[in-house]
Amino acid sequence: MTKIELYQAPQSTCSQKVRITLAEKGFPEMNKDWIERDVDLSKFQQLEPEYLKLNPNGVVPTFVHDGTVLIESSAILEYLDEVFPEPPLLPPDAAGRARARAWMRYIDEVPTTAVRVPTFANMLAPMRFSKTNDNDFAAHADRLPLRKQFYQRMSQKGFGKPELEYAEFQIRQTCERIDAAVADHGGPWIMGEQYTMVDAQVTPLIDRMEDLGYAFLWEDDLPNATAWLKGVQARPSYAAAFYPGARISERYPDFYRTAADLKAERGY
Amino acid sequence: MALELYHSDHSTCSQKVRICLAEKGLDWKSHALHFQSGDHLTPEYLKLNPNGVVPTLVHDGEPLIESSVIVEYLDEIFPEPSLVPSDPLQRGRMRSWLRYMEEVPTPAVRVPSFNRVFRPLRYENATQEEFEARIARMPLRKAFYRRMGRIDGFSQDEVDNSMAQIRQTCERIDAAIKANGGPWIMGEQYTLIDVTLTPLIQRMADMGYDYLWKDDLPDMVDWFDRVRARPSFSTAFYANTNLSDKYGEYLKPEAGHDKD
Repeated sequence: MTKIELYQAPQSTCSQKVRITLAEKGFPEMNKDWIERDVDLSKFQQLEPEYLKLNPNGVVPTFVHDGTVLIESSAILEYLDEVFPEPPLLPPDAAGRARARAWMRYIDEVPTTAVRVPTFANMLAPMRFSKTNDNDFAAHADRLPLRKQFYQRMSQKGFGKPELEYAEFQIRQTCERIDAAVADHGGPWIMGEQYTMVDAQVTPLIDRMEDLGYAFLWEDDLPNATAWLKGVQARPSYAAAFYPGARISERYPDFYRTAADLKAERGY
Repeated sequence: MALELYHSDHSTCSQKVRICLAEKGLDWKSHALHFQSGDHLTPEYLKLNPNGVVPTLVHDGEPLIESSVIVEYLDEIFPEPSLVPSDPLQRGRMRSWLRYMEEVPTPAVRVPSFNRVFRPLRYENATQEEFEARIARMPLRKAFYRRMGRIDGFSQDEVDNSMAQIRQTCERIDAAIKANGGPWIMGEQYTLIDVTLTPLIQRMADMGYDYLWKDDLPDMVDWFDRVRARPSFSTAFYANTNLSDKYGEYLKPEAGHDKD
């Protein structure tokens, strides 16, 4: 019997994509099919020396399979597909795999980084740093093995209007590409008939944007992307991965602030 | 079997695909793009590569984008000599490295490259309107150009941070050589990690930043000598592919813009 442990956080989108993939591979249930090692990001447990030994990047998730450690969520998805080949989550031919992987690199570079901007501006920056002075904030950024510059650009208050507008542009571009891919390949999924790890990877990102009230970026004029989102959210893997408390609005209800709330507050 | 590569002489992402092609002993047809004239943003090229970046590999008519994906594709289609570990866990670790390489040193290397060479070369003589019009046409990385600006270049904070990121990368190379016994990053097998990191470190060395590693990371120094001694290096870095070969005047200290 294989032993799967996941160091993770319920609301982390990169943890969510691994949970979706685990569920698709027949490991849906937390603490039954796989063991949760909870990392409390609000207490910065991902930066504790013990955790950094497992994951020198100081981020979640970290995947442990029968005692061996693997990091980087996109690499974890490919590993899961190789060691648990059924059902396959990549196309069977090399060119199809390359097209799926090109999507994955785009998702890593564009929407993954874009989603962090409203996530921090709407919720996490005021929640974690509103009472932090400049020195303590700089010291926090210094502790991070990765993404110091993200914090430096953000400051304690969360990002400003140009960063938020650019993040919206990037999410819009992602949704336009999903819409076009579903249309070109005939749907229902991004690569066509086969549900792949591209769908698994991007689902938590668009779900996060929906949760924060940014569905206006796609729902009015991108019907294929809108239908795709409903489709992925209707899969059993979504219900397994998004257990109660997993959406950021449920995880931190006291700090929940939508796109409209933020814009009203800031007078955009 | 026809391989065509849309690339540029001095793009690090093109260089990594050229190293991989050389390691596989493959011949290919060159389509050299010139960024200054905007070859990468024409409607024809965007049909091949909607991200408007190089490289794009066309294999028997099929366009393939994203350099890390292209090298993995080449390894699948042309399996000998293998550049990917045979064990799934080791493959997973290789891919963790590739993801780190994409997130950390790849963008970090762009900061001094643009501050010192590409920004003055491409944009200093353009008007602000032309600069903004160019950004508007780019599908990706608009924020990168806006932070850089046409005249000012990246801030001292950004320069410092990119140097710290390159240093961290070199420390991880050094530690991996020690941990895995060398001579390559994953141990005995030369893999796609060595392929993809080589052009990034070469770019930094070429711009005069080898002080970041040469004094106290001996295993990394030896690794860098070894990758440069491979025939694939001289094939991929043909004449005028280093910035210093073609744009040496920009790299002189008196050219300014060197903020470290």
